[in-house]
Amino acid sequence: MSTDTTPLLAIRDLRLDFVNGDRPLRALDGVSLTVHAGETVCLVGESGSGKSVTALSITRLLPSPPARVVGGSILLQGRDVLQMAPRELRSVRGGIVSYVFQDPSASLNPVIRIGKQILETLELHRPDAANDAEVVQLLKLVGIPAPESRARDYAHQLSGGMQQRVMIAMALASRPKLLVADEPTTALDVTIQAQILDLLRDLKQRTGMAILLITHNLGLVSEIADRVAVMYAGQIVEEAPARELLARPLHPYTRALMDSVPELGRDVTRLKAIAGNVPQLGAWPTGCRFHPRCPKAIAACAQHNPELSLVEPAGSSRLVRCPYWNS
Amino acid sequence: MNTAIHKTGGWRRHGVEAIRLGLSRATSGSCAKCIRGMLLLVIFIATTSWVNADQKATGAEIPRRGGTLRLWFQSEWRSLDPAIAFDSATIPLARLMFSGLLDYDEQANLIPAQASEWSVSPDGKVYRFMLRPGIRFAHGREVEAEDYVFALERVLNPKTGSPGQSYYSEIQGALEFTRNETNHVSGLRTPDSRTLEIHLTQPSFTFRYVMGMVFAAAVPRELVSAQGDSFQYHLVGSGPYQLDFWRRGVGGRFKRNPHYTGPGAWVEDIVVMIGGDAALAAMMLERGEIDRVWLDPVSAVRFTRDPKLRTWLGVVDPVTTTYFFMNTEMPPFDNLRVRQAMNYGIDKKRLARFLGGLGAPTDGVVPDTMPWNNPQKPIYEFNPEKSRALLKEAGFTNGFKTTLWYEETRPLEKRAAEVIQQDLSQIGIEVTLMGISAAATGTKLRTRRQAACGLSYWYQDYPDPSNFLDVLLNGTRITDEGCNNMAFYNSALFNQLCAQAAASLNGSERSRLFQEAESVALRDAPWVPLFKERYVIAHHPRLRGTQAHPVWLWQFQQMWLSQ
Amino acid sequence: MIKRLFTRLLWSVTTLMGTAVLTFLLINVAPGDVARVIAGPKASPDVIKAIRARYHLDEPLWKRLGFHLGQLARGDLGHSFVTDQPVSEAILSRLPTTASLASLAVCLWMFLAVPLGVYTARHQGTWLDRSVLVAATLTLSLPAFWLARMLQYWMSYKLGWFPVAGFRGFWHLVLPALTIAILAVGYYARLIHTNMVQVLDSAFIRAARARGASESAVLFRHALPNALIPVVTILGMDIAFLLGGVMFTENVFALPGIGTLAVQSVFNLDVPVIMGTVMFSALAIVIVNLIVDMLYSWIDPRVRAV
Repeated sequence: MSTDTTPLLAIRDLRLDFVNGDRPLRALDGVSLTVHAGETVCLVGESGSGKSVTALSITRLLPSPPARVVGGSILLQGRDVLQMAPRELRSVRGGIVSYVFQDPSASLNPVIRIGKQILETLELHRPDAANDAEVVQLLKLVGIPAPESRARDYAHQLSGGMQQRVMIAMALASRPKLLVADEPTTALDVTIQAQILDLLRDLKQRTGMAILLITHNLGLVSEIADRVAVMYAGQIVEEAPARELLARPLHPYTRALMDSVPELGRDVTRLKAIAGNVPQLGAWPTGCRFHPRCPKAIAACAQHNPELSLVEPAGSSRLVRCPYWNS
Repeated sequence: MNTAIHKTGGWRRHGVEAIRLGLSRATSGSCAKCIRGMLLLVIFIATTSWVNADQKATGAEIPRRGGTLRLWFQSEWRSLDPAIAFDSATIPLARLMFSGLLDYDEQANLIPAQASEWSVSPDGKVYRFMLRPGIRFAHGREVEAEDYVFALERVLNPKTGSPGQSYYSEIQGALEFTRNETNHVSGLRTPDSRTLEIHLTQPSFTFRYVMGMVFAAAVPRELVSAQGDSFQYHLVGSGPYQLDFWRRGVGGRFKRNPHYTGPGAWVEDIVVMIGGDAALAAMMLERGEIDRVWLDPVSAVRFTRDPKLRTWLGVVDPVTTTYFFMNTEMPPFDNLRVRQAMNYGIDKKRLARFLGGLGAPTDGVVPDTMPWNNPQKPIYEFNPEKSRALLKEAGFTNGFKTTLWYEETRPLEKRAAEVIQQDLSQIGIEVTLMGISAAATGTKLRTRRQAACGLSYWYQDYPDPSNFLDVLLNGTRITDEGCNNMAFYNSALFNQLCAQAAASLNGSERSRLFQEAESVALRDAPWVPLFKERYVIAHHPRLRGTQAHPVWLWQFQQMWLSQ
Repeated sequence: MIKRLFTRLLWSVTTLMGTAVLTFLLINVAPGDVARVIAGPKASPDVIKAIRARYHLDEPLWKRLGFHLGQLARGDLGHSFVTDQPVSEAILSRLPTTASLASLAVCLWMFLAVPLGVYTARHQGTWLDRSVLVAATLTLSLPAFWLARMLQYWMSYKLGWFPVAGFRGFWHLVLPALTIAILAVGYYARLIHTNMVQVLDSAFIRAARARGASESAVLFRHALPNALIPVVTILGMDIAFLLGGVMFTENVFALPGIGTLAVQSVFNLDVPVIMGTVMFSALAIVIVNLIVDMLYSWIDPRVRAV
């Protein structure tokens, strides 16, 4: 099915509302995102920007109501997720697309042994491999010591890092084509964060799966990403190969994000926080949504919302949602 | 059955508790429907006598053998052991398993039962019984005179805790035996195993009735000796039925005693169910789950209204009285005029209406349901003017205040207390009502100088006027505690008449002396006799042989099933 | 774990002791000559004396209290004043009835409440959800006595589907159990509903869905066990109360259980039985609490570690 020309995941112009009473609140406003097989894409943005919503939308994991897709399409290996029947959708979930969530301690069922939870995934997607040996193998794969006995543990008996490794093992159990890691390291402490990230990078190399990493931390991008998309207020504001974006961020918001990233050895007090707050759902400003916080905003920015358009700085081709990227 | 605390909790426990549920609703209901129902019930009870209802049902039918009679009782009792059983639920059941030397016929005359003949010596001190041959206990052994001696000694032994112990204290040597000075009662003799001789310390006419009580039934002496206390769970007697099994608080079953040769014992099994209330039992009766029930007032009204169910009803008039006593040792009731004023001031007919037909007015100390009566007795007709005049003469121009004690758990008494309160307020007496528990009546009503006035009741132990007059009003029997004479009435004339009557062995002379005694007591007015209770019973139409007995009220061994 | 158990046991014993002393005092300060109630009005002084000695009624109150507690410590609840039966025997002989009634009732209401709670949690705002809410509110305020009477009147008396009263087999238990179940099912359905709603909102449910778990697996394997954990405490308490005797229901249906025993003993002023049933209820609550505690560490692995 998947060929070089058919991307693994192609989100086109996705618009999604949250219906609260009679008033729909727009959460995603024309998001387009592509992930190719074997590629690592980072979706970056502050919380509330819609990046997690985007991630969950891929397999329609948002409860509906309140969530409601009002436009666009999500093509997974060329098939439209939005048109899928429940049974097909379930085979996609965990089968083609696996998730690793932010808080591993809450994402593991507290009353089911972790081995059993991994086994459940295997039974769903690789019934022929649904046995204890495979469970142990998976736990070993994610670097859990003494996997045989750990398999009989409950979630609360493991440390946060171990829990996240279990989540990853579970996600890998079905040998997915795409791993969606939604802030996988946020809840963990710094040294563990690095280990998990190493693990992901390592696993990607060994399995060849694509990774969609959702993070608010642009710092992770340099470590793992092939390509980066930056989200702000329900829209992608910039998308570029990781190296290029890091070398030359075009959108003012991307620049601001980069300024807020602590670098090793840098004094934390010199860190620049982005002024103002992320706009609330349904309270997006007119015009460019970033303009109230943008240091370079001009009067025109408040008038109309710019398109995400292809620009070509220094011979490269980049997508950015700011007509004044060059100034 | 003699009344009092035990009766409160025992004999009338069933009827009374059943009534408790419904009476206030039935009699105080303001809706016209309810009142009409009550009126119907009154009319029904007034126009129905038990015999009528039953004759219609039985006619000349020949009793049929077999089947299972299903009985229902509200709550469990101490035991059906004949030494213990002493209330309305247990006596008829105990009589299923245990028979004695004497019984009563339909006119309440004593007749020989397990005795083939019996006699009293001319001095009235020796009772002699000849046993009928061939009477056997349920386990097969023939009944012997020694079994009777054993049974009576068992009742007399304080360790048995028999409520009937004091009835037998007239037997020679009973006192010494009770005090553990001897291990045999000298007055109980068995010249041979067919003959029982009982020697008394003094002449007694009433001892014949005492021998007719269930306490005096034969028990198999070897089984009781072997089992001791646990005999009460493995009862064996010489009556028409034997215990098949018993689950405490749940019920049990009796089956026919194969060795029984006497009358009755028609049904094969008698199943007893315990628990719930009378309204519930009425529904079970209608659904055919039980055969007989003592109705609560609400169900009684319901049955009366229904043309079909009306024919299931019957009324029983037990020998009982409920009375208002006045403590003659406490002011203001130490004043004869005050006591008489109370007698004129209470409207018994109105009271009876408020009891919805479950109580009929009574004027004597002894209720007229006993086959003895006193045509010359003085009667106080309701007359508030006369009452007020008497109070004025007594110096209570403006009336007085007093407290009336009654047993809270007896709904008829409670209702009566309220009606009396209203009546007496008309003659200027302000009555405070105090409802107390059955247990508290012992310390309140039966203890000297505690209650100025109150309500109490008495059920006959045996059909003899002495059971009311001598027991309840004889001044020589007054004790400081546990006194049955709650009026603490002590008249030399009355006491003397009672003593003469008790000493007399001549039936008609006794009767006359007791008539005189009753008239004396009524003139002295320690009581206002109020009402005699009536029981409304419903039977399933298939149940026959339900005629009421003047002493036992009902005899399950005489009942049979038409299908 | 051992330490916790020990503390709990200590508390339990204290609770039982307190209950024992309090009931004893409450009942024994009520006026009335119990020996006369037992013996009957015509009992001679000798008989009364024998009875007083037998039940230790001739001793001063504090001595009787001491004796009573000593008896209790040996598991002896004394003898009924009315039937002279050992109280423990009276209670134990009625326990099977009450226990069968309680288990049938619990099964009935859980059997109804679990699907209702799960369904209404999954489909909030539907007419069924609303009806369950209304029914729960209604049944909570419904008097047991009234409901029992109504069911009895219509289902047994009028329609003849069930026996009116008594206990001669399983069929006699159905209507009483249904009464209790009806009173409880709304409450439990709502309780499970609330817990389910909460659990369904948690991250591990989303994770399970993200793994492709079917809806029924999500509901029954992942959500329900978690939602039932808090229910266990309340269910435990309710079972304890049921074992202590379902006074109204048992009495209405004339079931010879502990509830009818308790009510009868109060009517009869049968002091040892009153105290026995109270102690039994207290004991049932204490024991069930301990069991629930133990059970918790089994059903909720998180507790085990504490």
